[in-house]
Amino acid sequence: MKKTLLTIVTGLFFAGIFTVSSGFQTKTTQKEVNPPEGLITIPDNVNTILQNKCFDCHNSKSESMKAKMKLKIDHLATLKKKKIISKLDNIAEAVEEKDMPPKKFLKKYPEQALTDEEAKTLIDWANNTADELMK
Amino acid sequence: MVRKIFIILVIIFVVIQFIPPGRPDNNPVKGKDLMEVANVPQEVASLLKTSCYDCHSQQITYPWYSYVAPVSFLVSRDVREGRKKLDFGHWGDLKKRKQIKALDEISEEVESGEMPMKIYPIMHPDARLSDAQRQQIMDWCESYSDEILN
Repeated sequence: MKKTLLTIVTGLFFAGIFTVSSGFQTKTTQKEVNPPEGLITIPDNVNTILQNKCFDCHNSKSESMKAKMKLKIDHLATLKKKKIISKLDNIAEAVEEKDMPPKKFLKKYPEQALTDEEAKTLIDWANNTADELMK
Repeated sequence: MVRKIFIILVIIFVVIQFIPPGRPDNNPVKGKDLMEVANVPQEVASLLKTSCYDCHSQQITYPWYSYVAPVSFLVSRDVREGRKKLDFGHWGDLKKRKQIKALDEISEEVESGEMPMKIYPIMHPDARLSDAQRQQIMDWCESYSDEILN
């Protein structure tokens, strides 16, 4: 009886460790934004901004349905050409017009605001990449 | 008491008729409308005209009740905002990239059922899109944007 209990407890313990570690694993793959088969490769400097300032809402596991529907950064590179163009155009526009990050959100988390330099990097990248894809 | 409220409501109704709703005019520019710029298949063209063109174009037909406040305010706002998002009447002025984006978004909105707006088919039953019609519009978006890209 004691032995069975011990087995169960050890089993649960390892199952726990497994779940936690696989949880970490999905988190890292989730942050993989440049899948090898993608049409575009997001440069590191842009990637950093996207990860720090946009990813928390715009990822495929996000709790915000609206943000997820509009843009999933971790899926961006895998989309069809016209979709990528459309998404990039929207990124450039939303940042340019300061619609993103949302004002309401920034009131709560002012540190998530884009610096002018970050905004410019994002806008230029999105515009140039979209134009490149149009060729 | 009820009578008083009724009279007040009537007065309000009459007074708001004098507030200009700012109803957007139609300013069609020759050669710029989607139908003139692109070769849209007949069936899709008629779907777009019936279900979208009453807000997203320069060929808006205002029904009689859109002249009566407060409905006039709502209609005017919908047309203004609709055109800001997408105006088939100025399709020819859009850069190719913006056209690609517009087509992608049309497809998304039509697929998810966001468009036409729920309130619209109540007064315009013809504008209600069946699943097959939605698919038709989505297929057209796909092939037209491929055409633009190539």
